[in-house]
Amino acid sequence: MNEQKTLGFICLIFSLFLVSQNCLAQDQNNPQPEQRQRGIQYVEPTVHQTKDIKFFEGMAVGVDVVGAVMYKLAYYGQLEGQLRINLKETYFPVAELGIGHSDHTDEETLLHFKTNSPYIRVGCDMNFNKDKKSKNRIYCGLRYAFTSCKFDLSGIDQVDPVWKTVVPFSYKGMNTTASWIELVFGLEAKIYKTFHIGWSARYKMRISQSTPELGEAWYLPGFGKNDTHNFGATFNLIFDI
Amino acid sequence: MRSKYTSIHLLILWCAAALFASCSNTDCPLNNVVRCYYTIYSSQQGAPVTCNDTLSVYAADTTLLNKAVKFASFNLPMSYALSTDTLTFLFKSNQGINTTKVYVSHTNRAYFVSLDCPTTYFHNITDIKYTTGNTAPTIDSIVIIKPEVNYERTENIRIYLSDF
Repeated sequence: MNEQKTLGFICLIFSLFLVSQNCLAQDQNNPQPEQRQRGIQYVEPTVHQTKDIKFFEGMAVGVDVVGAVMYKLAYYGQLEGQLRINLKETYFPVAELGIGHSDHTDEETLLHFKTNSPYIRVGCDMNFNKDKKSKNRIYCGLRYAFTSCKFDLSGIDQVDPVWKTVVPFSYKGMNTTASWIELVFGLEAKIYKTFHIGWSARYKMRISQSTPELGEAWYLPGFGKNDTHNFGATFNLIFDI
Repeated sequence: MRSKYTSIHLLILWCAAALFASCSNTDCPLNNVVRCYYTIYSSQQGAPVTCNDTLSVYAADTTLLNKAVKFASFNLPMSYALSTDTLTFLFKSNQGINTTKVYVSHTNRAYFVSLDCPTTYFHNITDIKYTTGNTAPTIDSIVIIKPEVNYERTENIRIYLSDF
């Protein structure tokens, strides 16, 4: 668990560093106002022009790097892609589709959990950056997410302490479904032409779950470790199409 | 402008660090013992009573309850895999010894909380049969109050004893 937290934290710091460097670099490119001089001067108002922004500004596809790294290195992770529509550089309806994966054995209890199941999120982001034409975005958003998960759970055989019977502990193909809401906050920066990077932090609230008789799934694809709420982060590589 | 961005990012970094640091916990139930809870009632009065005689309960060469005296309730484990637990109730009173067999039929299911927590078994009592002895106190009847046997410490089985 600690390794997973550390990994997530390192990814977050790395993504923060990249995005912040990009934002700072673009600030430095903007000319600073000159020193005030004697006499009457006219200063142009800094109104961000939005006249030539169309209603449909295009679409973008993206992938999540944090989930992919966790998929490879951590107890669980996901391979996730997104498709996003750009409406007036302000509203971004988005669909995120992924496969959540976990294959983990606890060192103390020797219980083994395994799943490889899909999930989907749909929602919308809103860009709060006043300079809509800069392609750098500060956004908040909302998602509705759903997963239909099939998991295996196994462990060492149980020995009844009184009757001494040995009971195998192996359950395969357990089905569960869950849905949740995500509150999203993120930053995104244009890197080169149609290529953007961005990160998002997410607060997830589980709103429904069908639980098999055995008990709740330890991990829900797209949600993370199963609980009533959870936190998550993504680091996205985004391409305008 | 630069300091503004730096402040915002430091704030975000701090919030993210706080969130990551606060989201690790293990929710293993503290009360993780699964037992079947029995209570003693008087068949004449129809009310809970304290039995002053001695009771021992055995199952499969194991003593589950050892010479309990002045008891109004007790709890016993249930088997993980068997469909019927055969329990031997041994009452000792001034009038002698009464041995009664109690057969508790039940279904079993494994219960999983988290990978961090040990698994356990819950049960559902489906039927109870028993033999009657000749020496008081004898079991007059047994009623299933709550068939689900899990972490809850509530009355599952009520035993009505005669000769109170």
